[in-house]
Amino acid sequence: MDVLQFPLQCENIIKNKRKIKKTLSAQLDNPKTIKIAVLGGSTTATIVDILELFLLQYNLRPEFYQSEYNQYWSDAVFENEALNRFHPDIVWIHTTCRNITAFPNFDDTKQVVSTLLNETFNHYQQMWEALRQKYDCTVIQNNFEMLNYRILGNRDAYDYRGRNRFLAQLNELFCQYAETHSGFYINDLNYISAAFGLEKWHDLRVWYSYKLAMSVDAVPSFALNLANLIKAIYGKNKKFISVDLDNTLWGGIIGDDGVEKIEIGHETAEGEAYLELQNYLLLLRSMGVILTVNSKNDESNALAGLNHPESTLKPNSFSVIKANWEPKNNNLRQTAEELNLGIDSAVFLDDNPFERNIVSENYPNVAVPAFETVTDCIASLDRNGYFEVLNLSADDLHRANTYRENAERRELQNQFSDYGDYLCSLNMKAEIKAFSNIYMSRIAQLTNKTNQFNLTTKRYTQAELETLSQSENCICLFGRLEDRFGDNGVVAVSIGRLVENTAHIDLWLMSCRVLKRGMECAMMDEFIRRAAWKGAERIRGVYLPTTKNGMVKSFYQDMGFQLVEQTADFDVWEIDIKNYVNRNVNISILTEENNGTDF
Amino acid sequence: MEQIFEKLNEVFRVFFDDETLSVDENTIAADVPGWDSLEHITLLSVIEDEFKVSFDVKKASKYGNVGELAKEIGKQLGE
Repeated sequence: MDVLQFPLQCENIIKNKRKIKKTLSAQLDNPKTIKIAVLGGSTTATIVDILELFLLQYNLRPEFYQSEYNQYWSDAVFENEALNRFHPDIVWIHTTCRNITAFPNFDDTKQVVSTLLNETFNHYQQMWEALRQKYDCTVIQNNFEMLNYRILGNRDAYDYRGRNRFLAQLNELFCQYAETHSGFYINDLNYISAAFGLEKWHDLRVWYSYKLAMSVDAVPSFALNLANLIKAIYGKNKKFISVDLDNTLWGGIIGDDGVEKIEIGHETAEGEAYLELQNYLLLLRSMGVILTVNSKNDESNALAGLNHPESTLKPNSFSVIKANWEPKNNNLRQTAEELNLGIDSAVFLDDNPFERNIVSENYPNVAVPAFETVTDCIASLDRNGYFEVLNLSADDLHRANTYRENAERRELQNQFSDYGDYLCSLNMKAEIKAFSNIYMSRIAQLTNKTNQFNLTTKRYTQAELETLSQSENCICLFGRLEDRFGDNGVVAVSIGRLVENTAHIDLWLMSCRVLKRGMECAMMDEFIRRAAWKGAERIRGVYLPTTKNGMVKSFYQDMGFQLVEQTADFDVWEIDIKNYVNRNVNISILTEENNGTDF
Repeated sequence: MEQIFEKLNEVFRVFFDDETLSVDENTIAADVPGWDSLEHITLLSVIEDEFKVSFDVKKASKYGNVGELAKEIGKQLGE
């Protein structure tokens, strides 16, 4: 919905919140319900109403628990029946600089201030650890915004007794905690209040009258930022950008003006602006976002522009280049197909409102940031949080290359008439093992964003996955696949649960980047070997159809399972282990000395 | 004053998403479903934006009915 995109029309959102909620609720399509406990150190109801709108937009249906006014700490630390019953998936602690009750005094020694800092930090840490222990949930903690005054003037920023310095140091301690604890995230109130403007952010009227710790107009910006984090936790990030060329990546029309006349590079102000946008996109690429071209141009002109010496984006920065005269919505659909990604994981970047409109009309779930000129473009991409990063795994950093390696594989495939011969030539090697800590963030990421090759589409937080992997009667497997072109990283996850003599498959998924490589067969062989070792005699799997996972409808059939129950909502399949024949042919399994005893 | 009520009525209808809503000088919070103390902040903020006025911190929570709100708006607009 346009009104919920940055740049936000705050007044419009607040005034129409009931109408917007009604519209979004009607558009929900099999939404995920999430339970969010809001532990507030100031008024939260005003924020929760708007936060809900942003979450509904991501097809998430939130249920909220809100603590009594300023009861955030006791709600978290002490026994709390209501919160126990609610059983939150996420606890968001909404504290602000208003909740700091003790600041340094001017006659304090450094030692005294340092003690005060640690005491204040411990007050928070105690709360986070109590919550994790009781609810095994994701915790989101605001950091602190700067105050509405600087009692020491400029010195407030660097004197050890400065109040703003004190807040900055607390923020740093929060960061250090977040770096070393999974399932714990910072809601960057400090940045978002600065971006909004501190003078407008601190509205003393609403603080005194209603104990709302920000101006009413600031609430949408705050809620958007928080919703971006929550949607990322639930795997709703975008994955690729489809980008126009003329007047988007450079100034001018290359077909008319010629390559020497386009505006790109340090020579002109306009050229600088396009260069900065290109560099921003290059940064996105290096953290794992796939870049693709969608341009109305002859391909030779498109390539000439990207080969311009000042253009930092080069043809090989893009995984797919569509430069032709087809409608852009068609190009976008084909790009998604070639990447094996859902079209709703696309961001479409184009300066032309007509093109933006045709894409929005055809694919309402594609993000289409609106911008007037190139100078607004980075803010639109950035503040809408399309690619909100939870973890920066090695796999993310490698992704752009992975998609290029896939193109090389396709080329090799064309040289073989027999698909089996082709698979054999890939020299595939797989590591299939019980969950290990070094891959946990990638396993969580894959679990929360895989939609197509996914039998149950069950989502787990990283904290939940860690708990399951410790459980005696669970089988938690990941699969990593490499071949002659490179390492695909962790591409498959399976979770089974032993109930008496039957192993129930709760989760079975694989990344679409390794479709038709036989990886699922290697996974099933290993899963069944481990199930048998734990005493299972039968495997039971469920297929829960969604709008996206039609490709695995007959997965269990292909694996030799028998259909034992079929309803409108799901199919149940079973196989006796004694009837299962190993299916993997083309992948050699990497073993190690202790393989077989590490689960 | 009539214009102020007309515009207030429109704001109330949009904000509470109820086309049948009609407010007059005697309307109090209890008459309007959804107008509770928490919504009061947001409602006042919307009215401030619509009329380009600013409510005083001392009075903001004390307006007893829509008539008093309208009177304050009128005063600030010089009507």
